[in-house]
Amino acid sequence: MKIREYLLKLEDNLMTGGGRWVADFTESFWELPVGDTTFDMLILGHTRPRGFLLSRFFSWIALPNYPVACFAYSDDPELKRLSPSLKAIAEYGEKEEMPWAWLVIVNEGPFSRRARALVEKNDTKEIGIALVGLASQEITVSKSYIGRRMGRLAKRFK
Amino acid sequence: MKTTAPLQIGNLLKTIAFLFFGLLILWALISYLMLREVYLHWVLLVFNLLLSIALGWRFYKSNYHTTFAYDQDGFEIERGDSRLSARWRDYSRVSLVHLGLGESAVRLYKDGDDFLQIPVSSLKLDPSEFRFQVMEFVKGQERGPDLGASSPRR
Repeated sequence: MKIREYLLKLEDNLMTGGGRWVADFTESFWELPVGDTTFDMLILGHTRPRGFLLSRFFSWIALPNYPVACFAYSDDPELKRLSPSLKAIAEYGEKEEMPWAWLVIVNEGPFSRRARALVEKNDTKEIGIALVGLASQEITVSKSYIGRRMGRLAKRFK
Repeated sequence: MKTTAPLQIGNLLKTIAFLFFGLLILWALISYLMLREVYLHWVLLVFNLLLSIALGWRFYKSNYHTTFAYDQDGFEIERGDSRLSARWRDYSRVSLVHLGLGESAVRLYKDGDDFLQIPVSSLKLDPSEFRFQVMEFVKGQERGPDLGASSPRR
């Protein structure tokens, strides 16, 4: 599977309710510069799902409504762009009052051992990171709750 | 210019059904007030249906029917009685929006929150493919300013 194909499937999955237990994603941008980093894809959403009649009413009275985002970029097996990307996401999150965000890094080949260890050790609560190696069929996630949730959503699409 | 103006069956049928039942209730009220009974006859129902179709078609054309024409330089969108034409280079960002109930739209952002929405599902265009095509049109022209760390919506 190619990177673009994977990102399209991830986008479709998130925007058609794949992440509904976490957030309702509604708007997607591609090739978007944020700070010094250009992300392949950015999907924006809110924690309150839209629903229909009763479900809309219950989500309105029971759920908080804050913005969330899923950032994605590719071709970085050594995670050289990770640090500026996290900085850009943190700045963006602060400006948009976004309590948390996901970062999905996709690579056609495998990620280096050092890169996987770096992500596995990452315990940032505000940003959940997932490494998706398409050829090796491997997903590595950061150990925060948000990161573990991303692991399920970033499943490999066949 | 490539033009698309598909018939939106759902909106047309919704309009006709709404008018049909509305006229039926109106007739029932009038006949009850005048005759002290609700007078119904199959000829009346057929007449009501024909009237609903005629009025519904007119309402649909003036409110829902969308015609979209575009080429690599710009586009023209006509929805009901309103019409807008613009150049792709007037916009700096493109996004795909999921509106719910299977409807999608492509948003074109100028500076700030100002955006124009193209209802791609109603126009029977492939939302994702069309979004990438529009991105190429916008990119092919002058790029908008870098948004820095601010929202793509701002």
